[in-house]
Amino acid sequence: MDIQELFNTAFTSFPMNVKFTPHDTAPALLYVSASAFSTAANQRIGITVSLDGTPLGNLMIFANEAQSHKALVTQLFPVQFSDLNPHTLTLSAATPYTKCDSNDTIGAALLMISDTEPFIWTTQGPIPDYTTFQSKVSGEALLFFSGSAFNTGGGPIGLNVVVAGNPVAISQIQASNGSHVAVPPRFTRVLLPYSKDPIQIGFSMNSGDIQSDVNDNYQIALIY
Amino acid sequence: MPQSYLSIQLSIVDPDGKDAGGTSAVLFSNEAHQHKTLVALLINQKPWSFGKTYKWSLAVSGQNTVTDANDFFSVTILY
Repeated sequence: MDIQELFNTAFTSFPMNVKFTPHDTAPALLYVSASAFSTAANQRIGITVSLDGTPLGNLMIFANEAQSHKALVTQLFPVQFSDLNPHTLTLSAATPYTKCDSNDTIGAALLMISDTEPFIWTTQGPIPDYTTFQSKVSGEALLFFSGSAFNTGGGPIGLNVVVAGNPVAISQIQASNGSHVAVPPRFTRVLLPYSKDPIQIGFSMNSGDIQSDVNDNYQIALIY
Repeated sequence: MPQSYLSIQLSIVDPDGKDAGGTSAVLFSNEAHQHKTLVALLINQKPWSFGKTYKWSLAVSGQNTVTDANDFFSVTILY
């Protein structure tokens, strides 16, 4: 998999435009990670990602605290370029409460993938929540997942990805309080079973203390 | 300390001890003594040489960054 780092840089101002020239016209996934803060407590904040003026989606988090920088839930966006000319990625505030300053970092990279269309599921809480996919391989695939949750009393948060009833990967964070927190996004190898029938896939928590609601965002991608 | 830039640095060196790549994960933390999710940054990795053993190390690189047994780390190479 060829990876093209587009930028990893300090935030400037909204809208933040970054020009780049893709190295390939292969199908790709645009990886975007960032942090931001809220001007008021208990608000959703996020960054809208647009490519050449077309919105691709948002990186979001629920900010329980005002004026506290938070990692947003990292996302992958499917893209494909028909030329190798310069293109523009635009980052804008997704909500009126979203702020970024020079202490925030934004990163983007293109992951060139095969012609086999990846399975991508982008959803909101609460979890546990499941969907189905039709596996395109019997064997290895690359799993990406991201999300957020909270632990009312603070404490460990473990977000599991479950395939066909079996946990296959976990991302963990030690929450210091009861606030929503993004778990670290992860890429990891998974072995997919052969099945003619759709396979269940989704998210669960590793403890009953962990909670999730409609303010939490999630994404799973299976890259073949 | 509050109002600190947190940073974890991944360093990769080849068998000769020369720089062979690396990246970082960062976040500005307004609060002290709180575990935080850092922003993971993907980078263009320098080419690997087949058969060589590379040494990977994670270290705190922000002045006030502290980790303990409650922190989790994950590193993945995407081929």
